[in-house]
Amino acid sequence: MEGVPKVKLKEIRRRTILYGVTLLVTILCLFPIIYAVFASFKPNREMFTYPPTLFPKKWTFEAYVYILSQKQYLKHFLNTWIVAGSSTVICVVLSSLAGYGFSRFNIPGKRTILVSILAMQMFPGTVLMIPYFRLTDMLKLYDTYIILVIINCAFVLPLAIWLLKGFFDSIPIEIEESAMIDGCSHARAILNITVPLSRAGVIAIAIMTFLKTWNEFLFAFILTKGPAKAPISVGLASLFTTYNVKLNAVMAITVLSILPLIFIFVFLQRYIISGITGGAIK
Amino acid sequence: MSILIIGGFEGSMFSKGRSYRGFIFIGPALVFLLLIIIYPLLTIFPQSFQEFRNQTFRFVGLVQYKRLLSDELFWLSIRLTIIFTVGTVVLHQVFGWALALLLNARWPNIQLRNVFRAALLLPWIFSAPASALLWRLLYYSRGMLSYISQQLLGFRISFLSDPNWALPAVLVVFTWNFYPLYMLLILGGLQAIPRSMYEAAKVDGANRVQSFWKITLPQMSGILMTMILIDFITTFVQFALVWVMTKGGPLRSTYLVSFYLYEKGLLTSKFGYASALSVIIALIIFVFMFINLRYFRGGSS
Repeated sequence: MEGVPKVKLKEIRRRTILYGVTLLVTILCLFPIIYAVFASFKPNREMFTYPPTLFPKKWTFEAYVYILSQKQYLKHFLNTWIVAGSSTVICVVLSSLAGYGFSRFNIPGKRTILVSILAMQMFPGTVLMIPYFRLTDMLKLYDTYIILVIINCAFVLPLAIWLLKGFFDSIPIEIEESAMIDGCSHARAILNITVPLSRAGVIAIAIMTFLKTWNEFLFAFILTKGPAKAPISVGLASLFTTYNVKLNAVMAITVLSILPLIFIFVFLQRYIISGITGGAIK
Repeated sequence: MSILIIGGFEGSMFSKGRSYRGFIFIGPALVFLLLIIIYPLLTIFPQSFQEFRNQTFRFVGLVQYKRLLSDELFWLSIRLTIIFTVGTVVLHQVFGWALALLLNARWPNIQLRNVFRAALLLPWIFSAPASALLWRLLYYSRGMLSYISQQLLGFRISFLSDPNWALPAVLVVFTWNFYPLYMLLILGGLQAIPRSMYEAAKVDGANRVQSFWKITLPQMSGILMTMILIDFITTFVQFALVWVMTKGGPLRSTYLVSFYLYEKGLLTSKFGYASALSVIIALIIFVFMFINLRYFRGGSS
C-alpha cells in the first residue's frame, strides 16, 4: 500500500527534473535569439547601456521604422524572394522528374549514377569558388539573378533527387498500372495518381530548397555587387563591421530576415524534419 | 484484353530489362548537374598546372603545387582549419548527444516534447550572417558576454578582437548554428532502436550506463561515423560564418583555408595557384567521402 505513492513521488520528481533541465537548456540555446528580439524594440541609446539589460526600458518600433524606410534593404529582400522562389520552382521540377525516373525505370548504370549524385550531395561548394567566379565572368553573368538561381539549384538538386526517389519508391507501381488498365495514359496516371500521392515529398523538397537558398551566402557574396542583385544574407553581412550604424536597427533587420523562415518552420515543420532525417540516413 | 495491352506495350515501361526511356525523366537533372557541378570541378585540374598572368594561362607543371606546399600561410591556414574542424565536430557531437538523449527520455507528454524539439531546432534556420549578427550583440564590448566575463573573471574579454579568443568565439557560434542538425539526426537514430532491446537488457540486469554502451552506441555506429565525416567535410571548407565575423583576423588567428583560397583566387586573381589549392582541398574531401561511401553507406542504400 505504501509502495504506490513512493513510485508516484519518484516519477513526479523525474518529470520535474526532465522538464526543468530541458527548459533551462532551451532558454540557454535560444538566448541569443531572445536577446536580439528584445534589443530590436529598444531605442538606440539603450543599446549602449552598461551593464547591458535584457528588456527594453522603453518599447519602441523606431528600429523597424528606420530599417523599412531604407530602400536598399527592401531591395535585398526582393532579390532574396526572386532567387529563392525561382530556385525552388526549378529544383522541384528537375528533382521530381529525376526522382520519378530513378524510381520507375531500370536505367543502365543506375547505381553508379545514383552514387555519383550522392557524392555530389556531400561535395561542398567552396572548392568550386574559383571556377564559378571565372565562368560567371566569362559568361557575363556577374551580378545577375540567373547565376545565383542556377548555382543554388545545383547544390540542392542531389539531395532532392535522392529524397524524391525514396518517396516514389514507396508509392507502388501497381497503382499507376491499374489506372492505366482503366484507360489512363501514362502521363495522366502520373498526374492524377502519383503527383497527389507524392505531395508531402515535393513540399519537403520545396522547403529545403527555399531555406537553403534564402540563407546562402558564399556565392551571393562573390558573384554579386551592391544591393542591385544581392540577397539579404549579403546585406546582413555588410552590417557586421559597420560600427556607426544603429545597432537596434541591425537587430531589427536580422529579425525581419528570419521571419519568413520562422513562418515556414512553425507551420511546415514536420516536412523539414522528414527531409533532414530521410536525406542524411539514406 | 486490357491486361494484354499492358503486357505487350505499356508494361515494357516498367520492365525488368534495361530501359533508356528513363533518361527522358532523369536527363534534364543530369545535364544540369554535369554542366554546373562536374564541368566546373573538372576545370580546376588542368588550371592547377597553369599560371594565370596578363589575362592568359601558361603551362608551368607542378611549380604551383611546390610553391603552395612551401607557403607558410598555407600551412597556418591548414593548422587553424584542422583545429576549427576538430573542435566543431567534437562540440556538435557533445551537444547533439546531450540534447537528443534528453528528448529521447520517457516524456509523459509527446506534444510537449515536440515543442521543445522545435524550439531547440530554431538556431539552425539562421543564416551565417544572421547568426553572426546575433552573437555580435553578445560579444561586443558592451555586450552581455563581455559583462558576464567581467563579473566572473574580473576582466572584460574582447572576444572578436583578441587573437587568443577569436577562434573559440567563432567556434561557439558555429556550434550554436548547426548543433540542431546533429541533435535531430541522433534523435532519429535513437528512435530507430527497438525498445525491446532495452527491455531485454533490463531483464538481464543491465543498468542504463551499460545499455548505453552495449546497445545504443553499437546500434548508432553507422550513423555516428556518417555524421562525423559529413561534419568534417562541410566544416573543413566552411567560409560564411567565420568570414562575416572575423575575416580571418585578428592577426590571422582565425585564418581558415577557405579564406586563403578566396584571397589567392578572387582578391589577387592567381587563378592557377588557387586551382592547385582547390585540387588539394578536393582530394582531402574525396578521401573522406570515399571512406564514407565505401564503409558506411554502400550497403544500406
